Amino acid sequence: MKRPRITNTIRRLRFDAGELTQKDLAEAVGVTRQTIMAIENAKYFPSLELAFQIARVFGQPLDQVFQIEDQE
Amino acid sequence: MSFEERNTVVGILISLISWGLMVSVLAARHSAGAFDGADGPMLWARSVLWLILIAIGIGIALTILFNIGYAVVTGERKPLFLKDERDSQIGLLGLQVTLVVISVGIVGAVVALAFGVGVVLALNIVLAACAAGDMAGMLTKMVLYRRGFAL
Repeated sequence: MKRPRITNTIRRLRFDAGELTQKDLAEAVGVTRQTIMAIENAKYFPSLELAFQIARVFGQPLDQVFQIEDQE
Repeated sequence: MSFEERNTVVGILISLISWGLMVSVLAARHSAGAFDGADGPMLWARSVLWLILIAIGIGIALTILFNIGYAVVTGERKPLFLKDERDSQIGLLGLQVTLVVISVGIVGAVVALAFGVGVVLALNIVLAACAAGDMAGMLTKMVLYRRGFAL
């Protein structure tokens, strides 16, 4: 079974939040800047807990931050 | 470079030094015939235990020196000693690789014993498997850190 692709809008949300830096976001959710960078580049898929924490920082529902592409 | 990634880099360096020391000391004692008698395995174990203690000391000292050096070079006033979920997952994958290599070595040692090799040689096979597993695990972690992760 092919693994579904998960994308995210963190880069745009950071821009909309007044160019929030990766470092600031990382500190807000308690991870390293490298982890935020890996998530933005879809190299690492965060746990549900971390995903909710990131969404909370931007004040958005989870599906506005992370999207799963159709498998069809 | 995150704290855990730095630790992986310094871990590779520590492994090379520690295992290099072990191989050179054990090879010298082996060629001198120190492990040939009936008490060979016991003397081998005593040598390895001392070398493990020395390796731990070298490891602690190098880790501290490396982190101080990194802070000086990068000018980081408040270095971040943070381990997050991505570090944990990368660590687990590295550990899996380490355990597979060590398991192969242990089975290899048992097979070697079944074919009649000496106990000291079998112990050396296990030790070599530990060294190879340690290095393979850390190289796996390094590659995953460099790639960002994604498997």
